[in-house]
Amino acid sequence: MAVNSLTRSNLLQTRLRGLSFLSLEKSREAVVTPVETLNNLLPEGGLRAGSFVEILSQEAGGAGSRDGAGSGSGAYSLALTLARQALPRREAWAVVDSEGTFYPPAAAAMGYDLKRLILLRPRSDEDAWAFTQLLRSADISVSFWMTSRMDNMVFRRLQLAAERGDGLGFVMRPAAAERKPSWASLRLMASWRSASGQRRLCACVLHAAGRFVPPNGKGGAREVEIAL
Amino acid sequence: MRRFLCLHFPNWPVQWLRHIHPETHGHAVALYERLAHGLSLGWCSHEARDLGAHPGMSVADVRVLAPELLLYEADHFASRQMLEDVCLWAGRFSPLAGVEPTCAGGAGMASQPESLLLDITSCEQVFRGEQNLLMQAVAGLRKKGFAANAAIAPTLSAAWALAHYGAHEQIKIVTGDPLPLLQALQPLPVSALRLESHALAHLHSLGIECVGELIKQPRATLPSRFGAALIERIDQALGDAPELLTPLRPAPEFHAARAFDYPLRSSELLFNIVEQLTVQLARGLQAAERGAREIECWLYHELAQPVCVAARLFKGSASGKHLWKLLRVKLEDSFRKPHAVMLREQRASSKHGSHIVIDAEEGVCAVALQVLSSEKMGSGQLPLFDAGADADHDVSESLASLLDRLASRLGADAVFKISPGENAIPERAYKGTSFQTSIPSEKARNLPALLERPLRLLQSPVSISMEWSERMSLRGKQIVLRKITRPERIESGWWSEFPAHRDYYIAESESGARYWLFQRLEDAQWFLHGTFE
Repeated sequence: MAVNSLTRSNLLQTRLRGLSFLSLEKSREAVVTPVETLNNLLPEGGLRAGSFVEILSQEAGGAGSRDGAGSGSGAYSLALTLARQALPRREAWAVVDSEGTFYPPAAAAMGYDLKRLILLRPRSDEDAWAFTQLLRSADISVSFWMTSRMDNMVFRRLQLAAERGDGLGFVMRPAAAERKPSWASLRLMASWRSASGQRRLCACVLHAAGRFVPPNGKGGAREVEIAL
Repeated sequence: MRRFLCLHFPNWPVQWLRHIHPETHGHAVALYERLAHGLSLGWCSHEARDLGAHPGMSVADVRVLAPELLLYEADHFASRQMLEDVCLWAGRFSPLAGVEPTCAGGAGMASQPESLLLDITSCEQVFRGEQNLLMQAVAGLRKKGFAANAAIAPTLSAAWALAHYGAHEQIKIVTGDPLPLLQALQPLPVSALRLESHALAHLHSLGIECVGELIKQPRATLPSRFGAALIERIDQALGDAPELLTPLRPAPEFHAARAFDYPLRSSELLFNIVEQLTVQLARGLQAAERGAREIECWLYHELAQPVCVAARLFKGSASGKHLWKLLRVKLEDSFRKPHAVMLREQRASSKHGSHIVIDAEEGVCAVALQVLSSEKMGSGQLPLFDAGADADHDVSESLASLLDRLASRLGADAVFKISPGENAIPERAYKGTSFQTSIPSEKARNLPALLERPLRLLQSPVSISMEWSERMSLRGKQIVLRKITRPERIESGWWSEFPAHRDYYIAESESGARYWLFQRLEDAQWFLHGTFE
């Protein structure tokens, strides 16, 4: 009887160990961001490697994104700021830019090494595939992609690709996507703030996997301001 | 014993014209060129010659002489392109097929190519003899609507001379023995040796008209009297000096092919066979310790044009799995296109150029894989990134594989690395260069430190209206401005076609968005050039 219980208990333990979410939780390391207050808000104390972050941006000024005019709302700035410390992990970093508007000299001014940049300018119907390939690669430290089109199937592919590649991805989407489902491990809303003449980038945590985020209107506990 | 075939298309530009304008068959046609002194006839059909037109006449004269003559402007590029297409078709008779070299100054050589040259050494066995090979080539061309004179000889020059100046029968074969070759060449005019115009004029002035008379002259005196090239031409024609044939497509270093009894219409089956051939090719590469850098997969239909999908690799690979992955992406793309059942190639209007469509309805009757260029495995590679002397990082296998995959699917022109553009004008401050084509610079440099720049720069600046420091109007939308910086003047490119004289400003809206604007100094017009995303 005792032997049977032991066997059963061993079997159960083996099964539990084999469950993917448990093994995933164990193996992932955290990429610490340069923003201490944001790290404190995240369960691992940083961005989880092997996942992707979704950044939504307010369409400030209403300029829209036709012709790639963009909104000037800070999504790219936030992504590049948070990802900087992940760069040395691997050989290259990459940007998927189907609009052809990403301006590398500005990234260089933020401390990014352009000699290690892989810039992809695919047709707009190929950008999801390209970003998935980058996420799956074990040689790309961080990948960035700005898009307005996303569905659950693409999200699931991105999630699997990120888990396999163990890198970090940033997907930038318009604020209108806030009410739509997301598979990102971390979801942020980017916006600019001005206080006492100083301009600050504000990141509001909408969702963080493994951590309860208070709903809207519950105060500033989930908001982080970054001075650039 | 080498054997060469020359296919000469008399009056090729007229044949080309009749091919693209079939309605001109039976009509008198002529092609003219734009020369410094005006429009001049370059080529005439025999019907046009019957009307009195001839090359060299001015278009104004010929319009008066023969008003019914149909006149077209010559398009040398397009006619050469078609000759190259015919050359690719002729690849079924020899893997080494090329277009004849041309020389603008040579009277004996055409200024525009009219002939194809093929090295058919040992190829006649496939066709059960040279006679059959020639008959099939000429008949095939006739079926395609082209008239050709053909000759086979042991030297390139002799084959060319016989095809152009031989007796009137369409097909000539000269055996490899020296005596018949000499006998065949002797009656030909001296221009059959492709001599320079001044040498030809000199020979004519001396009454030397045919090759036989020229060969009888004391050899030692020929170079001083007619130039050194004359001796070389004679030796090349008689096989005493080498002559190179430049094939239109280089001979593959490694090759694997399979033909089918019945055309294949199933993409899955076809993919399976291409995969097997790729593995076979990879085995050959591994045995030779080489890695493929450029690989092509040719799919042959019975009637439609053959289709080629190609992949270039950043780093040589002898992995059948990797090569197959690259080809599979392209093959799937070709099968996926909407009009895949049509009997044609489709040039899609995408920015990445042409897409080739495989004819799924007609089916594929043969597949051939070839490696056009390879490199020794384990040899030093170009660094992937311009790392400079301070860094030492070679490209990893997996990263090279990722780049190959991306370039294979997205196109090599969609995968870039960045290098400084050495220009103050923002849109020219960096250059995107392809990983596969670029050679790393000796001194790798990062971009120079710049003042604040936006993360998104519009491909073309958008015109805006501006009420200074108050508001701007972008596509009819009013944006109230809270702050605007002092100007940064950029004046550069005065030496180029598009100089820039601009004052740049960073404008901040009430909602916090920041825009990069400039005022063009020539006309004080305002533009939005980027956003601080």
